[in-house]
Amino acid sequence: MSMTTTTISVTIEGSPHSLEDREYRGSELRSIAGLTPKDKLVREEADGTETPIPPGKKIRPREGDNFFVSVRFRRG
Amino acid sequence: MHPRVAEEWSEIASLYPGVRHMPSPQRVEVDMDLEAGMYDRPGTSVAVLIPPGYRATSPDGFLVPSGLSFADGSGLPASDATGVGMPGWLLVSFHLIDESGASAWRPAADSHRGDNLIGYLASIESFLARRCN
Repeated sequence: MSMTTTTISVTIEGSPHSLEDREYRGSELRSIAGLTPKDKLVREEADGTETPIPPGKKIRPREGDNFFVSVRFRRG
Repeated sequence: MHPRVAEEWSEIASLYPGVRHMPSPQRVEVDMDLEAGMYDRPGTSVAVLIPPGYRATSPDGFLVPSGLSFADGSGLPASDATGVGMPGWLLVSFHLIDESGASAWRPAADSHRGDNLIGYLASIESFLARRCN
């Protein structure tokens, strides 16, 4: 009996990726996209907010998710 | 504990196992690894003061112990934190902004989405890894 793996399409830092439909750690998503652990990876939500995905956080990506490195801080 | 922090606490603790909640002033303290060769030590404590209006109100900065410096001996862009009730610490004024310089702090009703302490701490880690740039 053959087994079928469901995949979903997401974007990480502007590049399309096909992922298995399962939970991922933030560290796995960084590895897939060649990002470092200190890059602040976030998921863009439908309401425009950014949900942080630290390396140790587990999430289940959704079809069409857009992940990117958020750099929007300053001193002062 | 501030109720909004309490909502996030289990997730913060899972990501920062040594996290401490401290009173007077109310703050969250975590330990962070620093980039090898960038600072005068391999890791540091980082404290974030919790404003009374959190999460609608963003944290206003973070603190590191006095004495933390870059590997070349130069100091961090920080000021003495005695005035905010944290003698022995340095305060780094630190905000999330957009391209125009306006506040980009956008919390969500769901504590696990949008801007929260975990995201703020992640921004601090990224900032420190960029040599405070």
